[in-house]
Amino acid sequence: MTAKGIRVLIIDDEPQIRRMLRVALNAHGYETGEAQCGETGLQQAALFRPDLIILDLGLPDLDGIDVVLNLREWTTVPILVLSVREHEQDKIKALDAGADDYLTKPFGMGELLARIRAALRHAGGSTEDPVLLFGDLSIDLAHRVVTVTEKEIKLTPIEWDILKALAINGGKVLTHKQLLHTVWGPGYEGEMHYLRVYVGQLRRKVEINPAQPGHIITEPGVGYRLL
Amino acid sequence: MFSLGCKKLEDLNKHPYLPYFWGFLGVMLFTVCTRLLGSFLGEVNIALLFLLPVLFTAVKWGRRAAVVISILAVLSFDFFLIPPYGSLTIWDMRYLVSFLMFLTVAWLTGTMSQRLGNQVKAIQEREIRMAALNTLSQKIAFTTDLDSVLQTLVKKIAETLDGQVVVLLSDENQMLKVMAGTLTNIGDQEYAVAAWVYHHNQAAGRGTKNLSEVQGVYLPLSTEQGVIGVMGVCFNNPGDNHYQEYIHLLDAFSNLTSVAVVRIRLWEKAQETHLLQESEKLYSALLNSLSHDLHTPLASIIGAVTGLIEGEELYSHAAKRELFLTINQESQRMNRLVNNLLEMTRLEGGIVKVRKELCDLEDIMGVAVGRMKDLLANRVIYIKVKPGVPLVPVDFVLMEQVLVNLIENAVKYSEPGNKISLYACSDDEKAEVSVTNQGKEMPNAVLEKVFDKFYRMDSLGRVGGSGLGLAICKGIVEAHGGKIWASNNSGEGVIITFSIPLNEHGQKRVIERNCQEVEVAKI
Repeated sequence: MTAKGIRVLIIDDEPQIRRMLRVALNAHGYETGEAQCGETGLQQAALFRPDLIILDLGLPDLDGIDVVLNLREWTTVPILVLSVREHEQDKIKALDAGADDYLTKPFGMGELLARIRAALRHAGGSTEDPVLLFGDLSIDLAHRVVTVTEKEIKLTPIEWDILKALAINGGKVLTHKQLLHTVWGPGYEGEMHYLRVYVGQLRRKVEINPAQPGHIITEPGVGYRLL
Repeated sequence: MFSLGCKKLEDLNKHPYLPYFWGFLGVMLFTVCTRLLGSFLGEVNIALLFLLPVLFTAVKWGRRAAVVISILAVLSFDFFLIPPYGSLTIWDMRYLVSFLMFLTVAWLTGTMSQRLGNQVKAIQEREIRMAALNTLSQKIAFTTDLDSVLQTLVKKIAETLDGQVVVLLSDENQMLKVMAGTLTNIGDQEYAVAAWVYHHNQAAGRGTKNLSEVQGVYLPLSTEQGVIGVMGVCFNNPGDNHYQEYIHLLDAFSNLTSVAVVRIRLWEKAQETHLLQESEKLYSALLNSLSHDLHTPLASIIGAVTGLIEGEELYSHAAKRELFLTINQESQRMNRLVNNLLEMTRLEGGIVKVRKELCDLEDIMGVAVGRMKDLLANRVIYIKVKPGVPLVPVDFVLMEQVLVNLIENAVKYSEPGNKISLYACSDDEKAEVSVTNQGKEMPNAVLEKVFDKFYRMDSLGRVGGSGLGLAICKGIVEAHGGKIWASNNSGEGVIITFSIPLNEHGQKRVIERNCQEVEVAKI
């Protein structure tokens, strides 16, 4: 996918971070806009019409969560939140409030670009193709067939639902709450241990080495993503 | 009233006529007996026999009863046994001497026995007080929490004195504040008396010389450094001379309270000093860490970057790449170090909250190994979770930190190409996770110290690090109610193992989950 002309708005109060992101993203063909606080960020989001927003949760004027909620009132533009490790709960809140993904500072550029691509892909609605490929793992949504290195594997209904939810959001993090809600339905959002058990089972089926998974990645304290 | 051993006295209080009844009965019995056997015994013996009930009453019930009974005995003797019988008239005046004897004996023995009784009572009371004080001081001797000590004191004092107790301590502004008590809501008037006591260092209140019109009696809690507060007692059944009666006990209790408060305050001060020393140690170690462990990677980074900025064209592609890799590695190292310093500070500050949820150990191990991928590039890593290990109630993120630190440690003290194994197993009560490396053994003395803050092994060569990694592991594991220890892997390296209790809650949830699984599968 080419990044030509894709507009990214960076909302962060640290000029160094903004500069680093601007240089790196420009080098990869993205067009960038910048805002140093939440208020300008919200204005810029309307004026600059970005295709993706990178939002730092620790802004001087507004709570990052409020910025997400505010944006989500009128736009579905993908939002990537940046947070520091100490504030686990903030990023979960931001994700549940409608942010698409998160990165913990400090992060590598490769990681950032991968997240941006995943978020854009998801936003583009490019899941028309019923067969989703993740390396040696292929998921045929239409025929409910999952193969690993071209060998078909059998999944229980719950396992299938989890894998499907992750696959549709390919590369994007799904919080525990979101997954539990999607798979088990409302009222199960607190039953994290269901998820742990089924993800464990699922890994045994789709991963070559379940102890060091390459597809179903745990985001500690947050959720899972499929790569 | 005390639950004293003076049962006799209590009986007396309940039935004040009992001694007279028994005395009367005794006298009557003797009268009948001697009347029947009179001629056989002779008058002198009869007179002596009549002394018996008098003596008995005197010993048992004291002076007053004895005198009454002696008069009764005299009358009875006179009426029934001295001619003319059936009349109080006396022919022989010598009997008057006998009467006087009766009265004297009754008076003297009664007085003596009463005195003896009083002494016994006093001794018993003292013993009970001593026992109460003793158990109380034992109870509070090993407690270091002011609130619980005061609670214990107040409860015991209230129980012993049969009243309501309140303890007020002065704060830094010399204001009295109710700290504990069975009676915490004291009125303005009572409070004013307490304040007076605090400022004058004298007892006041009901029964004392000062301000006696209030309900309670207030005693200063005085120490060598001055008055620290006031203890107030409000008797449930206040008698007029309650205060006088219990003055020693009240003094003892107030002394005990002052001593306890002073002791705890001193202990707290000592703790503070200790904490201060600890934090000074932390600061100096922090400075050491900053100066060495942060400067070293920074030196590499700045060196590499300035090289690139100033003479980019001088470097070959491969050289540039090497510099970039150096920058990356060193920044990662700094990141880990900063994380550890922050984590330790938060653990010490009690800011870390353990959010336990049932987690898959294999998952945590996988994430930790994934995070340490770069560092583990030239090690062989094995992960094994014994089948049947249940979900473990832990904080995922904190546990991951423990494993990351253990892995980092295992890497530090091993050579490239060595094996590092992660192993997990469990029994009914706990899950155990161990990280084993191939490397040098450690002396036993070192094994015990590795979890101490800022401890670094000198014997194994210079290894970078804050000396905090394992201390953080210990802090986190203990916050989960678990244990962590180090041992030698039979000459091949070191094993660090930690155990996490699988509490009842966890077990139950696992069973619940199994049931649910069946249900869900059916749907």
